[in-house]
Amino acid sequence: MGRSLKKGPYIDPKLMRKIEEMNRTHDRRVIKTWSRRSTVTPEFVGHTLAVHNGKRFIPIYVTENMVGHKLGEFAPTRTFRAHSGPSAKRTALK
Amino acid sequence: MASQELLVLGRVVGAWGLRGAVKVKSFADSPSLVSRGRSVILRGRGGESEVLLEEIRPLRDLWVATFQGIKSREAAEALKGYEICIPRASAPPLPDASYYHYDMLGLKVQTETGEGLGEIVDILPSDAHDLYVVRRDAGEWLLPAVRAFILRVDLARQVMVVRPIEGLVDAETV
Repeated sequence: MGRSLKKGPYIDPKLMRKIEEMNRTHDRRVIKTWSRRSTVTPEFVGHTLAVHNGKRFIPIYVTENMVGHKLGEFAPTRTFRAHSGPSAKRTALK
Repeated sequence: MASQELLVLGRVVGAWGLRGAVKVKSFADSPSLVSRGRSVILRGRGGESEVLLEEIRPLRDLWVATFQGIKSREAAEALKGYEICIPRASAPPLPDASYYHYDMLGLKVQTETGEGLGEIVDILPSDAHDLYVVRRDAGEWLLPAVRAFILRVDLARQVMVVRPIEGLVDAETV
């Protein structure tokens, strides 16, 4: 069962306070957080959050497409290390 | 065969069927990089050899390929562990702001003022964006593959110019 709409999305209060402060001051720096359960809201867009995956912090640059998802979705806890050599795989700047 | 810059498309993981086809674990995004009738380079224990690709098609998360001159299951099994490569020079150009892993690994990362921040040693895929693992003397840090931080990629000079924000390079990310 999903979360009640009446309550609105859950966001860690400390994290939200930091985001609001940075939006007010137009500051841009990486915010470390362990709150993987926090929902991404439009206030987060353009910020970089270092989300803990249980071992280390994964820097996530928040874009509009991520709104509505949980932060933990973007910092996988199990990393599959595929071939990391000089392959023909592509990487693109977003 | 003279050594040259090779782009690895995949690795043979076993034989497929009885007529010399092989299963290939792909490192490329699609088999469209190579087409039927094109020559590829097989690299493995026995060195490098050029062979003609007769057919290549996707099969679930693998590819199935057949090569000219390899017509038995025994010959196909002997290729297990071999890498299928093409010369870097013959790889098709990519759209703007897209790069082969081959080209990105080893790039020097520096700021606009020329301050060195390390070298890209690995690329981690992520649902949000790729992450470049940058290694420097003080350890490793992760650089999100976004235009907000990466200003320029100069493959000719092997340099990536970035504008990191506070806490990105110093974060204990790795």
